[in-house]
Amino acid sequence: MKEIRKIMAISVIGFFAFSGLTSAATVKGKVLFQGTAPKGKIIQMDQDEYCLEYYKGQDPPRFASMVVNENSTLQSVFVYIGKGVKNKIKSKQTVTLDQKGCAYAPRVFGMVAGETLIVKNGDKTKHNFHLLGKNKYNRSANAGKTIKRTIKKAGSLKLKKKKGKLKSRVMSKIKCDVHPWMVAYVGVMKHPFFSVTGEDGLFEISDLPEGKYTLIAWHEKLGTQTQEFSVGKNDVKTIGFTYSK
Amino acid sequence: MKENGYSSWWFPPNISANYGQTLDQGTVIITWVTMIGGIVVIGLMLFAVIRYRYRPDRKALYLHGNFKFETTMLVLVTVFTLGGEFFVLGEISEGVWDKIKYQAPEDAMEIEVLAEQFAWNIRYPGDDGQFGETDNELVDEENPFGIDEDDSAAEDDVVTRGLIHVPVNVPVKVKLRSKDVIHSFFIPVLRIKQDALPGETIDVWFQAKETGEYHLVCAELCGLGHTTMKAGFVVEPLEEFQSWLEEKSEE
Repeated sequence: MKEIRKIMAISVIGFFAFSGLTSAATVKGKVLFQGTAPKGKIIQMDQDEYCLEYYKGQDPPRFASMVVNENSTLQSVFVYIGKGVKNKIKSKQTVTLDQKGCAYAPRVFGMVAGETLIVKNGDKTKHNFHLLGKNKYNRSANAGKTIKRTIKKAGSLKLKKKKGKLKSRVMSKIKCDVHPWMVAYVGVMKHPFFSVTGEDGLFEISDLPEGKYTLIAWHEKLGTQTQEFSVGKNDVKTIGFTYSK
Repeated sequence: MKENGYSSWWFPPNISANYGQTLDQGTVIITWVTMIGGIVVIGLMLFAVIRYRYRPDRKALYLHGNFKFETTMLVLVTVFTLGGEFFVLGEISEGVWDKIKYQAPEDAMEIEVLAEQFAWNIRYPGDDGQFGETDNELVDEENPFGIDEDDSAAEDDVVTRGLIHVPVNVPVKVKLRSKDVIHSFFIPVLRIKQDALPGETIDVWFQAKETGEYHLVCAELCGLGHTTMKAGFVVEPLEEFQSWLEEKSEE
C-alpha cells in the first residue's frame, strides 16, 4: 500500500511540475517552390456519370498532386517533428475526411494515433475507403454513408526508395478503388506536432517543449527534406523549406 | 452514356463485322436444338404421365428387358451424341475459334487496355504508331501505365480512363493487360469476352460495323467495385475518331 501511495504522490507531483515547466515554443515558416510548376493533367472521369455531371459547366478537374500558390509557395506539404519529442501524447479527437466531387478533402492531413477518422461520403455515388500502410483498412460506402475508424498505429510501413520519390516514414496513402484518381495522404503521428501548408504555404507548430528536434517536410511528389533546430522555453523559431523542380 | 439499340427481351444489338455474327448463329442454333429437344422429351413425359395414369380397372404390367433393342438404342445414342459433338467442335467451332484468336488482320489499329481494380485504362500509340516504354516504378494514379516520358515514342501516346473510342469498319487489336487481379474484357455488342491476366499480354481483336455508344464492362468478379467497373465504348466515323484523339492528346 505504501508503495502505491508513494508512486501516486510522485506522479502527481511530477505531473504538476511538468505542466508548470511546460514550454510553449513555436516553430513556423514557409515552404517555397522554385521553378515552373507543371499543370496537373485533366482527370478523366468518364467511367462514372455522377462525377462527370458534378463538373459539368466548370473547368475540368485536374490532378492536385502538385499545387503551387500564387506567392510561389507549395501547398499540401506535411511538416512534422521527426525526432526529439520524448513523450507519447494521446488524443481522443476525431478527424474528418470528406469525399466530394469524386475527390478527397483535405488531400493531405495528419492525425495522432488513437484518434478516430470519420470518412463522409457527400457524393451520390459509391466510394470505397482504402487505407494502405500499417492501419490497413478497406470498406465501401454507398452515397451518404459515413465510416468511422479508429486509427491505432503511428507511422507507415518502411518503404523502399522509389525512383525520384522519397517515401516518408509516417505517411499512409488513402485511395478509392472505384475512382482510381482519388488519392489522399494521412500522416499518423505519435504526437500532435505537425502542420500542413495551405493556400499561403505557411506552417506553424506550437506548444513545443524546449529541446532539440528535427523538422521534416514531406511532399507527395517532391519527397522529404529535413532540418534540425532547437528551441528554448517559449521561443519562436522560423524555418524555411525550398523545393525545386 | 446511353446505349443504342438495346432490346428489352432479346440479344443486345450485334455490331460485330465478323465473328460476332457467327457466335450469335451458334447461340441461336443451340437454343433451338435444345428447345425442340426439351419440348419433345418433356412432352412425351407429360403424355405418359397422363395417358397411363392410375385407373381402378387397369393392372400393372411386368415387362422383361429386351437386350437387342436396348443395346441398339445405347449404341445409336452414343454415336449420335459423340459424333455430333466432334462435328460441331471440329468442323464449326474450331474455325470460329481460330478466327477469333489467331486471325487478327495485320493492318489492325493497335490499342492497349490495362484493367485495374476498378477501372479500364486505354492507351493509343499516337501518330508514330508505337507505344512508349513503361516502367512499373512509374505507375501511380496520374500515370496508370507507368509511361516513361523520357522515351521518344511515349511523347504522343494518348491515355484515357473509362472511355474507348474506335473508328467504324476498322479492325482494332487490343493488347490486354491487368494490373492486379483477373478481369475480363467484355463488350456485349461485339460478342467479345476475354480474361485479362496479371503478368500476361493477351491479344484480342474486333471490328465494329455500326456507329453508336455502348459499354465495355468487366465480366470477371474482381472485388468490391466489380459492378462499377465499366467504360464507355464509342464507335464513330474515322474523321470524328481522329479529331477526338487529337483533342485528347492536347489535354
